[in-house]
Amino acid sequence: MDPDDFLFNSDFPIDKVLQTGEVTIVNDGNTSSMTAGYQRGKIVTSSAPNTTGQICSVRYVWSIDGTNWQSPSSHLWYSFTVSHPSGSSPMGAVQGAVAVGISTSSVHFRTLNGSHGAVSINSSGNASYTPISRTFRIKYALFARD
Amino acid sequence: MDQNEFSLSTDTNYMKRHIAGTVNITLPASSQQTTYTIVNHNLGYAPQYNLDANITGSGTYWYGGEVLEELTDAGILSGSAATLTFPTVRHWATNNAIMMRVTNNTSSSGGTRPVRYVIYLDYKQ
Repeated sequence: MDPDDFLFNSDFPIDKVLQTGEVTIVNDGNTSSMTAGYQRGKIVTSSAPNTTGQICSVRYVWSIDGTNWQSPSSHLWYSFTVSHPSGSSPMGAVQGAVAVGISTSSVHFRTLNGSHGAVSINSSGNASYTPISRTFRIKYALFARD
Repeated sequence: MDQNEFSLSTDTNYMKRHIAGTVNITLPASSQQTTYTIVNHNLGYAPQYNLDANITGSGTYWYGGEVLEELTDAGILSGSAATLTFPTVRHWATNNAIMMRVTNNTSSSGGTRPVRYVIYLDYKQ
């Protein structure tokens, strides 16, 4: 271990947290109105005021079950079965992911929900499935750039 | 104001900063991919870092440069491959630099996008 690792004095800049918060976003995952052909997710957005007066950087964790908190870049995957005229096969998709952005006046949240039950594809190539709603909780902290 | 917000105690672990800054990248041509060296930190180990980018040019800095969309990680149930509308960003640290790879999924080429970073000290793996 490098002894310098224990060194700390006022010459070292550290993160200064200026704002914290938590938001809850319900994303019903209903993609039925979207173009057929793809396993896709639904985007539901929200925002909160950025009261810091500056475009901070952000850290956050998020959860869809209130127990397991994901890192910002996590894409939670799951598997389902696709039934089609010639048989069935497994497929994977994202059941949840979150993006957070900062502008001068707002904190922007985007949730992706691709959760649904088994997929059935008919002879015409049209897919049908039942979406599963997810409630996203996002805990965030804005910290100063300077 | 909570006075504890002014306190600094050795009972707490702090993330000491190494360097922070902003660089401008030029988006690759439509449907092309480019890898950028965002900054050379020269620490000799892969550090913890924070990166965000105004990747769409709208003025919002997205954590990790990621802007989710309906077709993010989309699979094909039928038909042809999905077409994304935002640039896709991946980033990582090496012993000497922070790297970033951008795929321009849009139909427009070029454009300058600011990328911001903060690199932290002492979190050697």
